[in-house]
Amino acid sequence: MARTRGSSAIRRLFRSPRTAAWLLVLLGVWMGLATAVPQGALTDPDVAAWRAAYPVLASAASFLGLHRAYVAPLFLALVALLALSTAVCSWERTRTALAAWRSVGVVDPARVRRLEESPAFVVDLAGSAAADPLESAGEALRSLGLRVRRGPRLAEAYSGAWSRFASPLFHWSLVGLFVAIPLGQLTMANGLLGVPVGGVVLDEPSAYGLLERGPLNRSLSGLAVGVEEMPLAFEAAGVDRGAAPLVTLATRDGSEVARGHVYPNAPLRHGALVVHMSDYGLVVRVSLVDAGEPVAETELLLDFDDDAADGTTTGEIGLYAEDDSNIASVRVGAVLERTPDGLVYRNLPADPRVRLGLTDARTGEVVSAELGVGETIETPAGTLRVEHLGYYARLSIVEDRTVPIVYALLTIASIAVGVALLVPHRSVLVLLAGESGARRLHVSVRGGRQDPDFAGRVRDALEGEGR
Amino acid sequence: MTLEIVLMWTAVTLYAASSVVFVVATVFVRPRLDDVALWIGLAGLVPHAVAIGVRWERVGHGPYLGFYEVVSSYAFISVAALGLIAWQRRSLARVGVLLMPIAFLMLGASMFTPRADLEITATLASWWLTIHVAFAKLCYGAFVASFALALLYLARGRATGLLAEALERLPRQEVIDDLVYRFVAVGFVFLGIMIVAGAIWANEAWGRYWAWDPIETWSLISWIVYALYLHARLLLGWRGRRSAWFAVAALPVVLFALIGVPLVYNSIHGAYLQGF
Repeated sequence: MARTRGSSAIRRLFRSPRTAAWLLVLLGVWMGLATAVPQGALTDPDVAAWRAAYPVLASAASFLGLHRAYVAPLFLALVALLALSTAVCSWERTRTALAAWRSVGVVDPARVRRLEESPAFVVDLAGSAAADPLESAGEALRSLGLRVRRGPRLAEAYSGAWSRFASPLFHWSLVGLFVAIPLGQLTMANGLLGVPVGGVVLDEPSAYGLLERGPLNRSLSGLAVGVEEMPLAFEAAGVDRGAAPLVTLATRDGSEVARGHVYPNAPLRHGALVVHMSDYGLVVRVSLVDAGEPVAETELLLDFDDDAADGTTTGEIGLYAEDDSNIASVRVGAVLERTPDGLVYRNLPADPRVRLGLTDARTGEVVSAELGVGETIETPAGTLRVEHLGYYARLSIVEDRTVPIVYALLTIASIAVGVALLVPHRSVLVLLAGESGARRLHVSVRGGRQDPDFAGRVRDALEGEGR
Repeated sequence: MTLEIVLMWTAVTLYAASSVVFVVATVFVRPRLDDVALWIGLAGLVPHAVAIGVRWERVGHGPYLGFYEVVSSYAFISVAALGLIAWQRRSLARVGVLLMPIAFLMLGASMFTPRADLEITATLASWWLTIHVAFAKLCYGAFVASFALALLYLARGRATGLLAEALERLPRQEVIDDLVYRFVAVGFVFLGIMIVAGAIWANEAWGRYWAWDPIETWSLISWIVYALYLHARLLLGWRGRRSAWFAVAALPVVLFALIGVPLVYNSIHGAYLQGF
């Protein structure tokens, strides 16, 4: 008994429009606060600086989880409660709409009695010449865009089914979004993949520099992602699109499944896999040659950096022998030109050069040099040669199977809310009352929103026909 | 450039004149001056539209890049909203006493901001931009109309003396109340379409449809605020003054989302207002 009372109270709570209103208020406030607080880990420089500047607010922000506002338990709980409230509301609205739909044309004696006793207004037909006043009334109501059904004494007019079901459909679409969006977060994979121009990289976790995967994401596509070429100023429809790699996607057996230049607003798609252009940088390949034989070769991706002395980030790579023993570590940076403003030209100079700093793993001896492609330098570990200096494309690769569902739900929600608000459901009930010579129409009007003009328009239309 | 600026200042002058005449008509209870003020304001749309067109032709894109273009186009929409209201119900032309000063201040302010020609970047070159921006402007138009009508409703409810006399020719209070609702409803639908179009565009351009960027978040907050207005009206029975106050308080939120956020926050969306 207590359990029944409890569940009934919970149902009432979630059915209540006030609950939904308060949840919306709390979510709105939460989001507003979240935009006032830097988002990220507590160790992020922006977050740390803000926390140092506002120590009192910082403790409250930490307590609430505001620095990671959109994955904070409080936020997720509010969203879950709103989803539940919306689902209950959708269910109620659907039931009401179905019940109303089923009752069309069904004469309810209580309803007729109410109409006899307390109509919204009465149209006097004393001066009417109409042979069939209900037929005339029906015509008048049709002229207002309503569908009409009539019996011997009663006419019922109502707007179309779509207006009755638009509101439930809108709310169900929201429920669908509350489910689809988190499902997408749980199953998606999203990462940045560096692919040298002319090279191919497999879509596998180990290939990514940065990869986020939902806990339910089982595996990546395994497709071979290649970049055949990358014009740095690709033009399409008269607009410079910037660097636009020509990306190919192929299965492991080499069958190409997609190809195209990738730039903003022009991603490459294959099924749920979407490839976007994120940025580009440089790729350096060096090898270590000992007694004329290459003993190790490695590749490093470098990004443009206006603050770095040479114009790119530097990276450190290890050179390993066939037996996996470390021979040397090499610091690598490319030397780029700068603009008069100090910014880096994001393209290779005519004579591209690589700055190397090799540290011998056994002796600790350091050798530095600046080399062009094909040039070598003698080191205690052997001869170091720059094999290649070129561009790489940093591709953003996203696999989220829920995106088409989310789009569909957003579209349905937009249309449904438009219909629900702008073409609300309306119904009119007209009863022919009185004896011949003193006949009158008893009218009741229902609107989806209490439009002060609608009853007036119905009255004008009926009185116009009654004259 | 010179022709554009001359036309813009002509529009500013006409909007200022219209505002003054509307104020005079209201304060001194001269209903006939409402028509004069309305026509002066609507006349201002002509040089304003031509100036926008001249610039559009020159820079190769619509009025949606940089504070000058964005805010001046919102001023245009404010006057167009007045024209729409007056066309629907002539007796409501008096709402111009609120809308014309808003338009004048917006256009005037935009004239003192940088007017450099900004080029369409690779990220902006998408037809989703057209949909996104068009619905942003439409929703602003609907919300500013609801704001002005709601203020009129509130002013009339408390008006005494000359002000009461000035407002007595307006339609019944429940009709104004309903019009506020209608404009909010239309604006809410447009705002929703703007957000959806923006999300789809973001996914095409950047590979994610939502990233809780400040401007995305404030657009959603605006949507929630107006959803609350509709929820309160349709389900909690809020009408009259409470509902009108809500419509008045909601506009600053949407204005902040449309214009204020890029000025306050570092946002990936900043390019459209600040040009970088």
